[in-house]
Amino acid sequence: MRQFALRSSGIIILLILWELVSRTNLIDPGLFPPPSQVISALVSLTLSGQLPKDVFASVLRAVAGFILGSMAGLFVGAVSGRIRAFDAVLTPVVQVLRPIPVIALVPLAIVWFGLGETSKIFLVFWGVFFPVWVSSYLGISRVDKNYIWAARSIGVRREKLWLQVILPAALPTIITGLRTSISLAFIVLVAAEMAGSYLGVGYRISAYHLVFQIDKMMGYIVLMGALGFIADRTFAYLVNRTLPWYQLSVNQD
Amino acid sequence: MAGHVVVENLGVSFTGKDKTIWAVKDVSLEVKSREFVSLVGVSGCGKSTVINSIAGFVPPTVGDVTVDNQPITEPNSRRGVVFQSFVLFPWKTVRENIAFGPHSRGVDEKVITQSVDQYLKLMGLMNFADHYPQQLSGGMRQRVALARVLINDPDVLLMDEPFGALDAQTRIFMQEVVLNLWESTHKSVLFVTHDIDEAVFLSDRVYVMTAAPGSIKSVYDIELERPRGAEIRLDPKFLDYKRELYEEIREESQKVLGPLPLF
Amino acid sequence: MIIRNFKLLLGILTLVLFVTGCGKVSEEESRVTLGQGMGVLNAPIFVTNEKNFWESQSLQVDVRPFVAGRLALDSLIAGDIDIATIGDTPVVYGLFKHPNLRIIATVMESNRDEKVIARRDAGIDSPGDLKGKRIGVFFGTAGEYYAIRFIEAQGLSREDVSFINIKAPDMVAALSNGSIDAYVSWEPHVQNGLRALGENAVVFLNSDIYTETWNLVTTAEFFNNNPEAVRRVLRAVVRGVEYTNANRKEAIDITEKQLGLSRDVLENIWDDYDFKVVLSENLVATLRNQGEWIQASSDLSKGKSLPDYRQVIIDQPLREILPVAVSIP
Repeated sequence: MRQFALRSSGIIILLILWELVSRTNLIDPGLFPPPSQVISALVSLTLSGQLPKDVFASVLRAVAGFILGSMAGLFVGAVSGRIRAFDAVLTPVVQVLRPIPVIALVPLAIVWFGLGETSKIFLVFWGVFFPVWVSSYLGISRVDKNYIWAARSIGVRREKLWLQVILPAALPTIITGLRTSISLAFIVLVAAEMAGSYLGVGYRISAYHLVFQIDKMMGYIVLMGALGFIADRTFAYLVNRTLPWYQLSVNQD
Repeated sequence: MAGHVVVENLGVSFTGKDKTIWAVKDVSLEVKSREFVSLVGVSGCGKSTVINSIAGFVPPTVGDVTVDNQPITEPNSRRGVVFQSFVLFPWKTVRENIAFGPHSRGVDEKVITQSVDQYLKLMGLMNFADHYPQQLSGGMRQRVALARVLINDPDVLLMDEPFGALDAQTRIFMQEVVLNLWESTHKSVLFVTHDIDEAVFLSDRVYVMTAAPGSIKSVYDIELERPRGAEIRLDPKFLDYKRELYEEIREESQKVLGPLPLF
Repeated sequence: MIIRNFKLLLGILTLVLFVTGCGKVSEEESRVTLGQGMGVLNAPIFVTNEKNFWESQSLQVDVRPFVAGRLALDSLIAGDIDIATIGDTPVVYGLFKHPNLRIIATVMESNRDEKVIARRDAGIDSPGDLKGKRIGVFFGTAGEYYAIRFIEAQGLSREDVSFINIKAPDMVAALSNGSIDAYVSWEPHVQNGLRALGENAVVFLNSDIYTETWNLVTTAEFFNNNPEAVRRVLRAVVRGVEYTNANRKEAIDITEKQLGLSRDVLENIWDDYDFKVVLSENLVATLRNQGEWIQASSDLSKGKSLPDYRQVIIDQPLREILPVAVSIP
């Protein structure tokens, strides 16, 4: 409880400072609306039903893109991390595509998939795929061979190694990649929604920017931050809940 | 009488960047059924490679490795391996680590639970059954690793510097644990170490390896009476063995490190 | 004694610096950063750049292109650029938050620049068919204002269609792959859409609802600190506009190069644009109309009265340079 109070005090001080700076008219409150105004904008947008729809649309896109992207990244990373032939063929392809900043693909996604859900999910997929690929590739190709030997010498059959030894041994590295991708998913999503849409948090940020509705724009920016934070916490909670050993291993190494 | 290990003219090479490196060359040794045999040598002489070949992890480049006249093709739970770094599975609890072997061989769950409990009790780990390995001390971890292997009732126990990562007190305690276990179960044991005291204390026979690429330099039969207790370490015969082995190893160290510098 | 001499010396030095400094200002080059929104309506500025009419006014102009005047406005507000060419709608929006924006001249008027382009296979053959359709609009630009007026002229309201916010250059692709049914924009984007869709495209134009003005916009601070630079920019642009009108073929060539539209297309639409340097009553009226529209349709001006749009226009420099161009009192 004391921890919590201490942790939130920083945020509260930030809010008070922000409110004070806006109120003193040092900066035009029209350009830098105080938190009270931003919060009231958020409240009225929530009551009007617009904000929940935006959040729902954005979260759905982020989750869909994240699941597809991380599954593909995990699969390709695992296969190329463990099987020579796949490594030789796939890894150069991935390495060539990986440095392309995903934001640069936004216009291409519009040309290929239009402005609908497909292009947004595709962009999130792309953004998530590479960090998950990297972490799965590294995690799986660098699994300590002693784990495999230890398992084999107590009678674990070769075909069972994948699920019972290699994957769990690589999991801590993979989880790091997944966690990085969560914040990346939101960054990419905002960029994708800003490029063209009629629903979603990123779309509102861009639309309110263009018509100078700064309090609402800031409200949606704060909301984006909150969504990212909640997603990260939820992920951490689920990991600790389902993999109690994970935290122990991380602290150890 | 199972667990008779014979290694004949074993050579193992690895292909490096532009040349072939021999890890061991021309190693011949034997572990008879229920015998406790140690392999000592300086660091990097290829002791572990010998263990890895017998375990089935690394195929011999030349020579033969057989257990009970069967050539070794792949790892098998008849040959249990205990590693220096324990190699417990961090995603499994102590109980799950020990049960992993019988579990993957499809042993009946009830039987598994019973025998896991038995080994937990034997190793003094009953209160730590649901802990993860990361929560245990080094000595406890190595006991889990031993239990994980012994539960499969192997014929041969291959121990690769199992106490190398432990502090001196824990090490002596673990040596006694292993000796007691061996005396009650009578597995064939091949024990790799660079600690001469440990080798003499535990073994029926000690093989000394040359520096890399390792081959067998000499063999000593340790004729000390069994069962052995802590006091045997002060026995003059014990000290004689130690002295002789020490000289052998010293020669090999000098090959690797060069003569002592003169100050 | 020494002190008195020292003071004298200081006084002389200051005087010398002042005189030479002052003398230098009128001779010295002025540096101006100009942001230009890309479109056919910016043609006279393209010409001024290409012929470098800035140079003869002792101006060194750093020109930065923007996809839309609306985005140039952000840079102007942030202080990255000194002067920008922008349509009227973004300025009206911006004035609610930035009362220091100033218009120094209109360089073009047109009631045929903004258009609606739609896909026939989306079931759109007449403007009334837009009901219920997805229409791409670049929010905050004149395109948005035109789109609303167009819809209203069909007896429809904003809620009868779904507007999708898209940057103008992305509209062609979005329409081509069917993620929108229509879009509203300025040229070259409608011509580009026509080229991409061919027979499948239908274009609607309502020239009675809105006359767009394309303006040179700066901030009160920049004008107050650099009145001479502003005058020079105006003189150069006046020459650019005259040249554009006198050398139609060359002006089209220059614009073609800037926008990538073909000569034929530009020839066809060129007369839709009235290039002229003016400050007219029409500008004040269109600013006020849009101000009232924004006041009614959004809560941007909540609790505030509309700005005095006459005060937004700085007419004095243009009045000095080209008196006939100023028709506001």
